[in-house]
Amino acid sequence: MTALRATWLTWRIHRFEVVFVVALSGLLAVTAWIIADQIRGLGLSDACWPRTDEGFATRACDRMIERFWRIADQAAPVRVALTVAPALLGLILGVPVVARELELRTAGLSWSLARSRRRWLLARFLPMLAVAVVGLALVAWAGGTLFEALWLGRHGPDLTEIAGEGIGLIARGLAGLAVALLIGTLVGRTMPTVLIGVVVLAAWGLVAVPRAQDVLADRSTTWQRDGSWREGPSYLRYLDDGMFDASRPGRAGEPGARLDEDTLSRDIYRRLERACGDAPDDGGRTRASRTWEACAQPFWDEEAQLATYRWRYVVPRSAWTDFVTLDVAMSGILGGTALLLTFPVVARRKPE
Amino acid sequence: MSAASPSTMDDPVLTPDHVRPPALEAKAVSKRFGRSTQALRDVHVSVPQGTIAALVGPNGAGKSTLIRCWVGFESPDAGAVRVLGVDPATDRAGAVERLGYVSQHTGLYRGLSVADHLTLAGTLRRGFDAAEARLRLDQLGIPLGQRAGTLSGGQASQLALCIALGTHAPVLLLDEPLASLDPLARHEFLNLLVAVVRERGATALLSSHIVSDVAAACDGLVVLGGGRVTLQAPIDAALGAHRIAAPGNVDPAIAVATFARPGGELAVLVRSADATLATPSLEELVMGYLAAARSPGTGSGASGPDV
Repeated sequence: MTALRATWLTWRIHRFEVVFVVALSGLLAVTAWIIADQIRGLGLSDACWPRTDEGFATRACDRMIERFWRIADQAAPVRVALTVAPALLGLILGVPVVARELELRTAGLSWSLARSRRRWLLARFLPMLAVAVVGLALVAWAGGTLFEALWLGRHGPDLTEIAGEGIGLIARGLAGLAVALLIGTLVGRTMPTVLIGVVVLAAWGLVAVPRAQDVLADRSTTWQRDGSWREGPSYLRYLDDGMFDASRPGRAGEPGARLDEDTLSRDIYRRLERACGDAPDDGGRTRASRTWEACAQPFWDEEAQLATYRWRYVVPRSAWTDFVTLDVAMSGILGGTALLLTFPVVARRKPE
Repeated sequence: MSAASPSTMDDPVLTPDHVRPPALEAKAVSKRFGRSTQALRDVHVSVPQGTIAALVGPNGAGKSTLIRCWVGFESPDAGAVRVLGVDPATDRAGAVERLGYVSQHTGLYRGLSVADHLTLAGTLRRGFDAAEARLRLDQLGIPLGQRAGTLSGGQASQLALCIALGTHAPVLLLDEPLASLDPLARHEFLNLLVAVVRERGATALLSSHIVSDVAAACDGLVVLGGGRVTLQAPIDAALGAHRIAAPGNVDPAIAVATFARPGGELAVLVRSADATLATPSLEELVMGYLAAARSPGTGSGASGPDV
């Protein structure tokens, strides 16, 4: 009975955030579902994709694929929203739980009545967690539907989209909620908590997680020459693309090293200078100039070849689960740590 | 400003009630905020059970800090506080359940109704008497359905008090609850507080920087100035043991301090029961001791309790 009343009060206190989150989740889910439905309605099949010099398999395929890309372009903002949504939803639900109580000095009333602040926090946190799980699950389902439809044209998702669908999205959202809770407890002000939370979650999503993915990718990826993916097996999912030298070992001993175009160019010109010296300053009219150009030509050819070095970094479908598990584990570590720290911090926090 | 030697524990008139055990105790409490703000310096306070005490002092005297130490919202840097023998630093839950607290800012949730606040108190405090709180709010004419954000300052304080009273806590701590109230609301607030505390035999400590507010309601007086206790005594005894004298011809041994009366006229507060001299008002008594606390090198209130 007390738990029910506490839940009711949490709803009364945080109803604006809850309504906002439910509305935002619903809007995102409906939008994503409508776009996915439009794509599915095209009836596009894998048979349409192999491209010939004349175009795609049939004229009908051409038209369908043109429409597919138009819809996919329109879906770009939704894809971005799906990637940003977990952290945003977590922040919206997590920030006010303690930060606003401290800011508006309501914590003083509650904490002077509560025998245990930990229980007080649980009573506030659990209903918000439930709302977060429901909202995030809705978005995750819609994200999955949309990405699955969009993968038709890409033969698999980009790893950056892990956060835009499925359990990865839910885990990141819950981590955002816990991080917001902790920062809010430490800072005690709403807006600074939002700003710090955005920075922490952005750093986490843009730096920490991709670093960890890179490490995992070195062990589980294969390289595929750019342009060949349409003819290649459809189960390949790409992580990144870039310069690649199959003759060199990668940093983790994988077959082939990722290369940087600028570094390669600089390397070529250094070798050119060593082999041919400086170019004569005569406008290319003298014999010396022609000799120098003949010496330099193989290096220029080599540089021109750089564009063809572009390979794609791909992850087999079998490894996709590893990436999702890594993503969820990292979110779990971040969120779990934040949550575990929040309870003792709340117990010691001085209200205004 | 002249000063006298500090009052001592030997003074029978000002000695606090040793018959009743203390409900609130502070022993050698010091608290500093940052490097420059010494909020409390070696504070000794003892409020006997079953009494209503006023904690008086100017803004920044350390009243709220001391009260927050008892509630467990601050930890003393030195010394210890106790609520009915329980130290909030080691047993916060034990201290909290013995306390009803009304903060200066009431801490009400603007978006919640009055009834929601009673529900909130019921979920947080075992044994919260919502029926009694509802009855008192009804008597005060505060509608249960009204949102706290739309209550007047007086109504908000009354609601906070009704919540504190609904806890049936044996000790009530009220931090400047009268600050934002008009005279009528102040009167109603104090009437309710005194009636309930007397009826239950509870203990209340009421802080204020306006002495006249609390004079009628309280039995005891604790004056804080510059983070120190400058006077602690039952109000009647304290008034009976002091007199107002004209400056110039006062024995320095009995002078507490010279201070300006409301009209600007200088007067000396002396420790004396001389019937030929005027008895000070409570405000004059407090002003005298605050003046003594401000005067450098004065004995009175330089450290620890006066009584």
